Amino acid sequence: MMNKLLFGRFIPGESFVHHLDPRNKLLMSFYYIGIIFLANNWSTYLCLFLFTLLAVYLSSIKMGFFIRGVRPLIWLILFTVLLQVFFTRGGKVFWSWGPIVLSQYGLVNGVYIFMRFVLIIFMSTLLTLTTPPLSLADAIEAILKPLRVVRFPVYEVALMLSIALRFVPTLMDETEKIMNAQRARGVDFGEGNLFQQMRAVVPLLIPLFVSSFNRAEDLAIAMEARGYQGGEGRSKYRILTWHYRDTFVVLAFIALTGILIWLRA
Amino acid sequence: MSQTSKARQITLLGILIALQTVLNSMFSLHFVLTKISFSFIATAIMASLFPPFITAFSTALSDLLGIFLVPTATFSPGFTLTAFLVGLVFGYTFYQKTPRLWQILLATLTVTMGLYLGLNSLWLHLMYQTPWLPLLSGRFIQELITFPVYTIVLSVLFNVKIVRETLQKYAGSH
Repeated sequence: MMNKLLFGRFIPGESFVHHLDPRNKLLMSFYYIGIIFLANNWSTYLCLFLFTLLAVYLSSIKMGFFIRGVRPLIWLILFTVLLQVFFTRGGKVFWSWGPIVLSQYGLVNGVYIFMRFVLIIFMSTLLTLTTPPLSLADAIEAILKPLRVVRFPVYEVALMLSIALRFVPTLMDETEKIMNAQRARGVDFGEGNLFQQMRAVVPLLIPLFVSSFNRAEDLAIAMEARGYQGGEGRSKYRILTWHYRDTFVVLAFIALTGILIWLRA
Repeated sequence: MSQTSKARQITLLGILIALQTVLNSMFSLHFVLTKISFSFIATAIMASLFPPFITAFSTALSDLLGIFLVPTATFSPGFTLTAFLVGLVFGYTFYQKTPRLWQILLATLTVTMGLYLGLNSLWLHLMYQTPWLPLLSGRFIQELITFPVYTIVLSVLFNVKIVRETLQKYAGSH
């Protein structure tokens, strides 16, 4: 189950976006979420939409994968858009009932908010579809590196991340096993009222915690037995390299920011 | 800090971060329209073993990891900051002690009503301009259910013999 979730996100490929430096992809994803707030009219949203479509095209990944990324969040999106549509006043009023108003501004804002959701989801999906999780961990390590000057344990954090990435599938498998074992004893997960659901989870969580602690202990013993001395000065198997294409992408984002500022009402 | 304890700390933190991600994606209570994830339990366990800022930073890392591996929400630095603050609140309340009921109540009240209701609503308002009144009223009902669930689960958890013994064993080893 977990393998599908974990490795199903990353789709191996040889596209322009796949070959970008993961540090660049991570930083530009953060930057994109920042500049999306500059959009406040049709032309700025259209500009962002075209830019995102171009990025999707350059990844050579089918659009269906991105639409699937929106699906788990569809209720949250609809809830937010409906709040926006029925509680924003301004412009021509089409219908009203007490505090609920269907107005021109409400409808327009609803469409803008929907676009904002979809654009953010598309861009973060692009990051996870084109970057393996271990490369993302390397990128986080590289981004945190300047914090070494304030004695921040960057190598230890990177190792923690790698261990976490390695153990997410293992713990998911373990959880499935414990769940099946408890189901065989008659436990109904996700059934009944709130109190019954809480009670059902206790026989699952306790063995999961104990087994996790045992795994951590075994791993620590293995590391100590191999003379673990901290990360300082160790060489790396995966080395991140900045290319001209990464600089080009940064310039494209700067140009996009300039255009958005120019088009803002 | 010796290298031995360093290896133990790193492995335990790494596995607890993984556990937060697993609990966040696999386990949640469903009640009417409310969904409560169980990742707060891993945060509380981490908080009882590690100093507040380590717990806070690890919880923020787990939030990022969850977005990359099993996304259930869109990425927002605001929500990562909330995760950091949840770790900090739990850290200051639970670090190296068996918390009393009033301490658990205070921590869960701060987390649910202060951080989830207040701060997360602020992020949603800033990101999507959701009107305050319907946003807060909907989320208030959700947090009203989350608050007792957090309090009951944590009170029970810290009093389970095997959990207490395991925590004491690991707290002593650092």
